[in-house]
Amino acid sequence: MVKVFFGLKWQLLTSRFRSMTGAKKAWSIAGLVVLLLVTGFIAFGIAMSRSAPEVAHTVAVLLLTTQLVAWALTPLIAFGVDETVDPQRFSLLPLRRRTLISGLTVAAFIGWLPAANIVILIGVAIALSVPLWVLPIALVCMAAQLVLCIALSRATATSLAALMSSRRGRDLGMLAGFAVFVLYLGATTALNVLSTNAGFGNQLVDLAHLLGWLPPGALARIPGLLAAGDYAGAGVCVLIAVAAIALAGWWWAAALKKNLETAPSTTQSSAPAGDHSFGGAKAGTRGVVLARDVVLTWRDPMRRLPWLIALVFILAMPYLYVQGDGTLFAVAFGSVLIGTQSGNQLAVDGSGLWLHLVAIGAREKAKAEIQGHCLTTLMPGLVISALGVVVAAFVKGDQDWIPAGLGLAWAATFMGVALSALMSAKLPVAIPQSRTAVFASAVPAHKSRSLGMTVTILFGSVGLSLPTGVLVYLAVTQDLVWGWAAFVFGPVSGFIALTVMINIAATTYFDNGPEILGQVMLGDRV
Amino acid sequence: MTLPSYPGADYQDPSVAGNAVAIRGLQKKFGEKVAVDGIDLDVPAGSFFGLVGPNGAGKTTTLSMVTGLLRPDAGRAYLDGVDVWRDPLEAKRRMGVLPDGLKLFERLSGHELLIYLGRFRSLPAEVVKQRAEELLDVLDLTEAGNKLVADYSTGMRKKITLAAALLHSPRVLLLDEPLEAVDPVSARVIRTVLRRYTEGGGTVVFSSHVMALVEDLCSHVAIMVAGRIAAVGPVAQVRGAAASLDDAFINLIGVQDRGQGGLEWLKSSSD
Repeated sequence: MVKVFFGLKWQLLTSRFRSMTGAKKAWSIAGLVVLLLVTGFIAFGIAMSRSAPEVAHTVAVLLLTTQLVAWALTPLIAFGVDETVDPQRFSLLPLRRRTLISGLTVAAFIGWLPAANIVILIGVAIALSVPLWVLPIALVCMAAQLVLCIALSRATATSLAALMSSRRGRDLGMLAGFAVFVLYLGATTALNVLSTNAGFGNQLVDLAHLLGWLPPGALARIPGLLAAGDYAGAGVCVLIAVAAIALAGWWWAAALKKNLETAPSTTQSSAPAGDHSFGGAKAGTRGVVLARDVVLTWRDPMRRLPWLIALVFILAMPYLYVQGDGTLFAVAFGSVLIGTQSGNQLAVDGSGLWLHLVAIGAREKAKAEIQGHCLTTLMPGLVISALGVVVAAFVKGDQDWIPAGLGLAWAATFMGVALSALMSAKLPVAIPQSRTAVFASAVPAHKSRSLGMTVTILFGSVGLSLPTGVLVYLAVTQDLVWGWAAFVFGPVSGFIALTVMINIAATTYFDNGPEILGQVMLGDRV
Repeated sequence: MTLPSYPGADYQDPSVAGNAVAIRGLQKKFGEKVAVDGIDLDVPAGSFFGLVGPNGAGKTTTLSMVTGLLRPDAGRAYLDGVDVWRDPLEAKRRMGVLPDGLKLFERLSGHELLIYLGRFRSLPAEVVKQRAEELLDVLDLTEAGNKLVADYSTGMRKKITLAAALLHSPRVLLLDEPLEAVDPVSARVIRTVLRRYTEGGGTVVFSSHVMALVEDLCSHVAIMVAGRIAAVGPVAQVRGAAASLDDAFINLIGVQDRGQGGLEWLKSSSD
């Protein structure tokens, strides 16, 4: 059976490759070569630290710990990417649990990412092999590390399987994903602050010393302890590692048993709905669409999560980008990100777009719908951007630059919304409606479309905001009066761009509604 | 807008008068495969019209082109005398649509969905509220009205989509497999509502591959096979001398021998 699982995973990988077009195959091969080169260089760099055993030890402990955390979190973020992760796919086959575990373990070794991990681990093994006779032991330790990673990752995935196949579970997964993002941000900030201190290196050594008692750290320490003749210490480390692998394996087996013998909670109902009337009695199509989008943004984590991330980019990230004066200008990057919340607006409901299409008989109706979607982003976007600018100005004492900062942030918001509206009609990207992966944003056939749309919106918004940026530059270097010019020019130029692009988008949407539906409904099957 | 190859901008086919739906030379290809092969079809106003055929016959493609959800390669579709692709504003006012297998706005409740769609169609708020509550009541969805559509069963989804199709009081209903995978109770409710609708002067066009259902409900039927209309007319006329519409259908498409022969290994044992 192990052979069968090996064959299954291999088949999944190669069939994906075979189904690609010639150009995509070429890109895919180029990507693999780059991955191989990058991992090769990283592994080489790590192996080179062999000449300084203290450094090698610190690097190895930190790296292996991070690797284990990453493997444990991956199912939460990328559930559904690997078909062999979900044990429910095998629940109807007459397989014993032991066979299933062996098969799934082997399947987990097959793939580009495991291969990259193996290359890096070989580099770590070489770095830890001082003297060289401990290399075989180091390699065994690294193999144990990979097994531990796989067992923990599969245990997490299996425990999550029932949850992630329900709507509530995926909603929870999105929130967890956001928590991971904030944690990452916190860690980056902490490292940023620590790295400015003189004793940064010593602090990392202390941290590695502490982490050395956790399973990945223990595995990294074993070769060094044996080389130093500290057999008791090595024995303790072996015990820690074996216990961790056994515990992860037990957790996996228990989760598998529960998963295969218990019905998933997919019938659990969603949160109670409200009773909205979608705008006042006089609201037109624009107001009705705006009111619906607000309700859905509140209810649907897939729509809500990007707003939370954009908030972080407005209220926190600027302080990382610009650590001295002028932080308020960095808010504009977050403003562009807020503008992208209008992106792909015709595809969010998948084939549900038909409900609009059967009621749109005139271009004006199509335009009103797009305006409604854009207002949902624009109204809070302008307020949040202004808040980010004003707060940053007061934190850094840059109050004189507030008009310039507001002009730039508002221009960026308008441009982001304008290009998002345009690209939604010109290049709709089908979103997987099954949402088996928390952050899945495009069906496989639309990955390049998605990239094209994202690049156009992000770089286009920056480009279109450049004239306002010039005024900001003049305000900072010449005279503050230029800041007031940016304050007026930014939103006015943004408004003009938005009006023009909404008009183009409305014409495209009205003329090509059936073709847009044909594209976005691809997401229903994924 | 790019129109399918029309004879001329002002051309109006006189033969469409008196028909709720009239199709002239409608064609659609997907790559090399011809899904709908230049069909002509008239649906008399006030009729209960069944469009039947095996899977892949072109029923859904035809209905999608008539509802404006799929652009034809050639031909015209008229709804209540209005060219669907030339005057979509008027045509869409007059039609109610229930497609098969398409999603709804899943995170709205049934009640909210109706209110939103009514308001989106620019109906007055009070009218929408009153009609939505009445439709939910008649379709036995009042209790489920405050549940999210995402939590609806297949039958409930069909009923709420039918309610959305009826909300603006259209003259013609175009329904793609409205009773597919629906429980018997919901099916009966849907059938009753559709009968009341035709008794009130409305026209129903619905696709199905359940012959007994079509025979029971419809006044007229068209049989589609491989993208073409194989037979069309009042149900009794299409049935002819056959014992049932099902027999007439099987005779027409000639698949009597399917399912026979082979499978000798199939026993109760799993060996």
